[in-house]
Amino acid sequence: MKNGLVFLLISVLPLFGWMASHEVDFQKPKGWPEPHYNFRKNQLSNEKIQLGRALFYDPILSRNQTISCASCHLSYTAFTHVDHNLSHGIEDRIGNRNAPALMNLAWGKSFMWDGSVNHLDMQALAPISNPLEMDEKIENVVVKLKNSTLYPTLFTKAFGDSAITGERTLKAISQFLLTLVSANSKYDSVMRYESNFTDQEKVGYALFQKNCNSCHAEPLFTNNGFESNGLPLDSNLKDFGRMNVSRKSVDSLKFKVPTLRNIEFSFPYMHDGRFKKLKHVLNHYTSGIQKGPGLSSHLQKPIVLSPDEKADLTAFLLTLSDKTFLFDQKHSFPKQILSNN
Amino acid sequence: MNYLLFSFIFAFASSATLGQSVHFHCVINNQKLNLDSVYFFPSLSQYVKIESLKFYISQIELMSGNQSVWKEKDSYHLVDFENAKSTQFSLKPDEPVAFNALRFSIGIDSATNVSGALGGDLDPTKGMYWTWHSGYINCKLEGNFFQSPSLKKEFKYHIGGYSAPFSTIQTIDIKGLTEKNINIDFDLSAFISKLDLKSKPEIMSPGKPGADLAKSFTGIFKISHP
Repeated sequence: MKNGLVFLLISVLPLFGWMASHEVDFQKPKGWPEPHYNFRKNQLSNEKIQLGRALFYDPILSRNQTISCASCHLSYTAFTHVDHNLSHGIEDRIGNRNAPALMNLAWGKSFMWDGSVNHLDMQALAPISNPLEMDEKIENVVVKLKNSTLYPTLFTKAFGDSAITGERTLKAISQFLLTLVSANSKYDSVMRYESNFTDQEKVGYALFQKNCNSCHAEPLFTNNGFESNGLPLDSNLKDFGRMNVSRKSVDSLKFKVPTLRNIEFSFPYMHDGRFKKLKHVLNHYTSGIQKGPGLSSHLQKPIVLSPDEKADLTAFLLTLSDKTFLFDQKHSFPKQILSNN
Repeated sequence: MNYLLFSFIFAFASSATLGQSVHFHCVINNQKLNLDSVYFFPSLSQYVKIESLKFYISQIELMSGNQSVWKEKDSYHLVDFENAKSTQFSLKPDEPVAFNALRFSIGIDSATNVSGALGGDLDPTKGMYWTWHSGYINCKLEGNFFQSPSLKKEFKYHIGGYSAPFSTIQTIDIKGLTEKNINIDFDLSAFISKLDLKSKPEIMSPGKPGADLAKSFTGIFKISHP
């Protein structure tokens, strides 16, 4: 008899769960490719997104409760760490790479500068456990969340019961990250025929399409691939990028092609943040490329840009700034949830 | 009411009359392994202490000869010799099947490795997931040996990796089963004989050393005769 009751309860419980959370559909911007993320395995809901947002902004993820995801990924600067070339972790430890800007992650096929993380759900594990970042274990994070006053309630709202697991924690963080969609820059409004480029931006766009588009492909402004862009090896960091993951020498010095969206705010640039200004980046592509065996096939022919053309290209790149994304209150610190804890 | 009664009877019937149990044992020097005990290996002239042994068993099939007669759904089991309960589990076919062999994999297949966050035995809190280079650790063996060149006298073998050419999942066939309940030995002495404790006491990432070692799993699992 008891088994039967349990059976009945199990079959009814999902109904309560469904009633408790408000499912939402991912909004794909018009004309964009299908997202890579499989939403069927992690159906978005407002409650899960809010849980993920709380986790993103909560230093409870770090060993000594000092560092949150947002410490290095600030919403107003396209979720990167403005002015910091290398990431800053727990106890002022310095990482060996630049914190990447976070946006349009639903289209990402792999994560980190070297693609070492194979799925968005698993991404948060890397900074949580890196001794130079949060220096914590997901096992402990789950224990801390269980013992907190806040999270059993948030997990119940999100999942229908108060069980806190690694899977649920990671999926909730993914949900918040998936909502970070930047698709409302001036460039986007021009593509939607809602506004027009200036003459200079128009010239810059043509230069972009000629010189940059093969890797920084529209509309995401990345092809999600790995390329060597001719940066010389930093002899202190000795970071060979993708080769550390693939163990293939052809991948030496290859790094993930980053998106150019919101590039106005995501300085410093490159995987190690070596360039402070956009003009340094353009100068690298016109005169700084070091030819090595793995240099991207798209960079074999020199890129030639006059000073005027560099100004035009820069004007175009600034049309990729998306203020509605940067200042979206739905992405900012969740005061109502976290400020009393 | 009838429905409830039916589901009760059904649940009872499926576990009591159709279930087979699978029980993994770890054997070292012909004895049952006691974690944290010290064992002497004459062939290595080494004293070895085993602190931890765990591995994933997946893709379980009951076989009749070379014919698969039943496949377990969501077949993932983390066997951890620190936790006796985890070394034993039941197989629950919907109807009786005649079998004389068992097929399973040690490790996690590549599709599961790229499926994002998963629960149960696959939850990343189980300590069997590489956080800095996504993928499951298929088998973890840790301990000490006392002629170690390393300061801490430790060895750590974390065998995993799902992509070619260094894939580590291995299919194991256990043939000649005569009993309904299946007992399988993990022959740790045989496995340790494959290790290069002195010059390579650590494997902690996917790559050739781990993939080479994983190939030896096929000779390590044997029918147990308690």
